[in-house]
Amino acid sequence: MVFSSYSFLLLALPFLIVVYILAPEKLRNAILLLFSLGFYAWGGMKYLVVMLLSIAINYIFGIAIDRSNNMGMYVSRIVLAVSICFNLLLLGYYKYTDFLIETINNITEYSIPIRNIVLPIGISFYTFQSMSYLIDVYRGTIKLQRNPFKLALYISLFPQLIAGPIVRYTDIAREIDNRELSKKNFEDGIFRFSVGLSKKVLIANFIGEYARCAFGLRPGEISLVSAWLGAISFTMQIYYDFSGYSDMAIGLGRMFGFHFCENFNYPYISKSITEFWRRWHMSLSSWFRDYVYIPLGGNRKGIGRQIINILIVWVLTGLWHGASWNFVLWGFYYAGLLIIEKLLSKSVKLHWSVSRTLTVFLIIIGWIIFQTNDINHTGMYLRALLDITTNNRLFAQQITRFIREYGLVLVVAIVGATPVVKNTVEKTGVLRIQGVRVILFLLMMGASLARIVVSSYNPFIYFRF
Amino acid sequence: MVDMSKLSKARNGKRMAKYRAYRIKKNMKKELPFCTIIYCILTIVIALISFVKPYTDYSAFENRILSHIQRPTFDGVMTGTWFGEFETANLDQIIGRNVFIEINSRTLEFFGKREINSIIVSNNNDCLLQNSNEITDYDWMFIDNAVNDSFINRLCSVKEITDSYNGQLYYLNIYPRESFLYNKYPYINDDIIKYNDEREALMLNEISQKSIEVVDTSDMFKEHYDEYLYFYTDHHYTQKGAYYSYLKLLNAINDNNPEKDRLIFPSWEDMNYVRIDKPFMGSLIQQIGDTQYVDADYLEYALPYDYPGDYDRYEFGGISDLPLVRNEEISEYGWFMNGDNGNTVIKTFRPELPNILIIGYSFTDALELLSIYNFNEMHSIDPRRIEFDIYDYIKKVKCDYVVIQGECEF
Repeated sequence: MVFSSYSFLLLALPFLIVVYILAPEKLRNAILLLFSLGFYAWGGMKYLVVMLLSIAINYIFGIAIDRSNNMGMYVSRIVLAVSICFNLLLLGYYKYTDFLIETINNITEYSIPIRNIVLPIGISFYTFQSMSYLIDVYRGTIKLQRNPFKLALYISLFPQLIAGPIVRYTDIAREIDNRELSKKNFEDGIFRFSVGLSKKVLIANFIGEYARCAFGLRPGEISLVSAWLGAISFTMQIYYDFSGYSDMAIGLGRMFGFHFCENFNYPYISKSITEFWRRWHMSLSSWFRDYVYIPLGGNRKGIGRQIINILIVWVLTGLWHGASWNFVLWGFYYAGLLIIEKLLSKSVKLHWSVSRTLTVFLIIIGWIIFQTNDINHTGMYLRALLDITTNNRLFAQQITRFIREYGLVLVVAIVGATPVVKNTVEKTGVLRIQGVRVILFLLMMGASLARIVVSSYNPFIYFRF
Repeated sequence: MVDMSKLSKARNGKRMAKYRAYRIKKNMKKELPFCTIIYCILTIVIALISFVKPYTDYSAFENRILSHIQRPTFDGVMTGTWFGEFETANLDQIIGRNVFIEINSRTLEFFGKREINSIIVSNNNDCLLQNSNEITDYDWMFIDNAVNDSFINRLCSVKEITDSYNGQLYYLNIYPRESFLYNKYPYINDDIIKYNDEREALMLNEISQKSIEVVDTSDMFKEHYDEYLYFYTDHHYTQKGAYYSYLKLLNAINDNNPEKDRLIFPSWEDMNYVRIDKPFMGSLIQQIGDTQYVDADYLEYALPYDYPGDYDRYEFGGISDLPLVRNEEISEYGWFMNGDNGNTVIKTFRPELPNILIIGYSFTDALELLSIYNFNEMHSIDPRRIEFDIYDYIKKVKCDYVVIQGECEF
């Protein structure tokens, strides 16, 4: 189930709110767990089995690691290694088997049949959450969760199950046992949810139409203007799509008393790529930092080792995003940029305006690598960015058309991607006035729901005549 | 020296800020969670009414069958496909669906969006135009594949048959809508108009070279460019557009058959003119789902005063009581001949007149209505809706004139 659906907005969520409020405190975890499993099963029951299996085995691994901690370092390391291997194999089987077969077929003369394995939704997120739990148990930074239902609730908690943020057990361990049911939490949470829903449905989907069109063009069809506008549109689409989903998750968590970590902090105002990755998908960046980069030695073992560590982390980050060589290339791209920044940071100082512009430019190029289908498509698209052969008339037509169709939403998107709105709202305190909040909430929810209803609007004009 | 008055002001300021924060906190504790309450009440009421109300089967506004909630199947639940269908059915059956569609249109309007589902709303906001302007650079598409060889081969096959029994074949080319409404597009891409015109010229030339009679309506449409020949909110021409096309066809038939009685059709002014007051639902409105354009068009038709009233109608060979002009709450292009039909025959019991067979898609509906006036038997075929062989049919009915409109597949 996704948040931006009829089933969730009009059936599941209101039902859950009512039941959760009316239920005695002791039953609230059980209600949330059952709801989360149902929420996940909505995408297909057979994927629920995979997740339940993952939860059960990770529960057992957690106990084993905890016990092995008393048996000496090597034993506990072996148990941890086995548990991590299990999780990586599970993720690898569903996510990378076909990719691996395709690659083998391409570089050898074999023609191994593709398995067409369907990726269970959210598996990348809940696998990483499980691994962070096991590693933290091994490190002794958290207490073992002996109640399997509470561990199941942590891993399957519906707000962050499908698209993050990647919540660490340590962040919500206390709230699983004891959290507050309050009017303020509900009110703040549902408002945050509506903001996220609007970001996704009203801005990301809207401007994404142009991006989809531009990235779907074939060689020869794409011009300089449509290539640039498509890239800018996608840059905005992916931010509003992903940060909108994170807002919805954080808002939903808040409604039920959980305080999830923030996942985005205005990434497009960054003055460097390093800063960008501190502001973009923060839960994933910090996960890789804490569980891969620092254990590999981070920057403590000299510049050569640091460069290797950065490369390892970014190839893994790329692969985490998807099973395609484009994502590997995307990982290398960011690894390269971060290494260059590390090497030049002390010797080169740029004016903030230059560094911000340069950073945004590099981010846009990164999204092109991310969004294109394969390396050839990436090359074609990047060449189109430099194609100055477009005639002036077409240039003017395409610019005019884009400004008229998408200009306003792009301006809204750009302004919203900076802290200007947030600062203004906080300064004026306008959202503290309940009437304003309610009206804004109704407008956002009404417009979003209308967009969702229209998504099934698929007229067939030759049906009757 | 410390300025005592400033210090005192600063302290007062801090106290006031603290007090304000305290008041806000206190008020918030008192406040009810209105957003949550409103959300729960509204969603539960909408979901309940949508669930309890009888199913709506058909949406006239969207011109499609709405889906129903199906019983879950084991496979559907395991693979998740049932849940997808459940979602679609709920969205289709939601109470006030048209209101949501309307809200969506207003939202798009707020953002200044003029293109919805590939339909562009024109500059003056009073009409809709079919999209002819992708973001594509059209330079790439010239013009190697302009001639539709397989269609020309089909035309030649039909010509062989009509020649075999001394019938005549006409290819009727209707001037395209994009070209006719050219100056109303908000940001026209000249290349596509140029491409359309050049391609059309190449195609017609190729057909002529096969000794097939081409009836090209372009000049007629250009001559009457200020008249209401194409709907703004529908991709078809109006009955008046069909009327001019039909005159052009009759002229071609008369010119090719000087030895026969001329086929005469009255002028537009000398006919029984009917303008329908009911709202017109064009195909393009149905695609963008915006009711504000319902009044942008109207449906009109004109028939000669001595239009044959005595006729038999057959559908696929069986007698039919379908009307020639439908009469329903909402008017649409499908009014003529009761919409697209696979195989219609109208017999008017006037054996002295010739017979005609019209083959084509929906543009022929309005044409068929007019042709009943001049022909004893009017046969029509919509190739999308038949399973029999068109060539066999032509051999069987041996109509004097066979007209093929547009590059239809058969």
